[in-house]
Amino acid sequence: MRPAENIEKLVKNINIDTNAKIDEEVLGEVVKAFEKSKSKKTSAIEQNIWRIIMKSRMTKLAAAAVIIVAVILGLTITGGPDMASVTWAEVIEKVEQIPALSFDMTTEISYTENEKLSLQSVNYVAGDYGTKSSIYMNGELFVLKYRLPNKKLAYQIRPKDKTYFRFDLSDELAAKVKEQDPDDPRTWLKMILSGDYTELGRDNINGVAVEGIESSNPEIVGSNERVMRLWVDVETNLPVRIEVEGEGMEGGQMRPHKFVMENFQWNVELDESVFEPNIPEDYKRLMER
Amino acid sequence: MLEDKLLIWRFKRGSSDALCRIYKKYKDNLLRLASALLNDTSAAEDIVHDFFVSFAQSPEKLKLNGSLKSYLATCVVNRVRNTNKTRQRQETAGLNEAESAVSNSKRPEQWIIGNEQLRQLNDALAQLPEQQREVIILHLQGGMKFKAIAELQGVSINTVQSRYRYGLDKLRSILDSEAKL
Repeated sequence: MRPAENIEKLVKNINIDTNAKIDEEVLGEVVKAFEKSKSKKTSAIEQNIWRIIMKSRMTKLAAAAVIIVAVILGLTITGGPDMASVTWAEVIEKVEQIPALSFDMTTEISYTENEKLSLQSVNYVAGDYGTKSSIYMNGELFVLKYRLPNKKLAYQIRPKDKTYFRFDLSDELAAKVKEQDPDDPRTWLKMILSGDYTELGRDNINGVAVEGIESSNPEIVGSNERVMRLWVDVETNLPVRIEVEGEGMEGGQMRPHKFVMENFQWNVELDESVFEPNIPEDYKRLMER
Repeated sequence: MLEDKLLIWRFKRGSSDALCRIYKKYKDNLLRLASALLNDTSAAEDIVHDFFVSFAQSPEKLKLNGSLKSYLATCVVNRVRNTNKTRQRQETAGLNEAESAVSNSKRPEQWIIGNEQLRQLNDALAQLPEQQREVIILHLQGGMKFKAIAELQGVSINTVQSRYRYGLDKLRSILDSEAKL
């Protein structure tokens, strides 16, 4: 009769040898599944952003446009008498006259308190052509986004997957994009200034004296957003930073997100070629679901 | 443990290296576990393979209360249980033999290389009642504590300890009788 300890040892110490070749193949499939799920996740996030910008915020802007006229015509909010201060109506007037600009944007989506996804984008806007966003994650380019209302086209290109979406815009949608493209910071600027807001006073952003305002009125910011902030250079009356905090649907759940637009270069020269997608021939076109 | 926590942290943040490390560290253990529970190396390979693919696809679902080793073992055991249920249904329908002929024909190479000792032990383990076999395998090969096994099986620790004791006695008896032949 074997002692119980021997049986335990036998079960515990039994070894198996695996086939290294198959082992590698299985591991390859596991890693492939992992990479695919990551790319689906980023794709879902990107589509979520697309959804947010193409739908929810647009509807609010139409109503806002009427109020903007009033702001441009008469509303002037000034600071104390002894210091330069922002003339808010002039902010809109000034930026509306700028034909082309560039800026950086950071998007942060919170999955849990400690788990956040951060996307950075470099953005170009030109009244004659449209908008272009190059979106990076972990320093790697993963989506190029073009909105070209004059051509009635929009593209999402994913270089890593060698795939792209092409959206044919209806006349109505092209007109809406032209007027209220969410990748144009002026769209947000108008939204914030279209209703009541709270003055945040003075601050300093990267050595620039700024004045800020904040809006959290759901009638203005929309159902997805909670707070919008605008910081404007007191000397030039040009925006220095725009912050938007809210939440959007991601992975079947509403998750907090935050956008920050900054590093504005107002009035830059942008050639038409900047807005040319130039999709390589071996990229596969995906159809929108 | 600390290494595992770090691996999980990195895996959840998209590190393929961390996933590879988890795979290499635990796949043998999980293969042993599944193979012993099923007494079928081919099915064990499929289960561990499928489990790791599923694990890789949803890092956000990974929420650990205990050790990573225990978590992985529990996931594989649940898959084994599902496979056993399916098998029982197929056996009732008389399909098992046909399906295994097909699956073997598609698999010229095996992941687990045949091991006589493993086969003998697996044959002996296969003769134990399922719950006793599970306790022994999970405790000795999966490294799970009785408390964790009790939670998995939905019984008290005393019941798990009894199953373990009775299982070992029976296993010893089977192996001794085989040795006499």
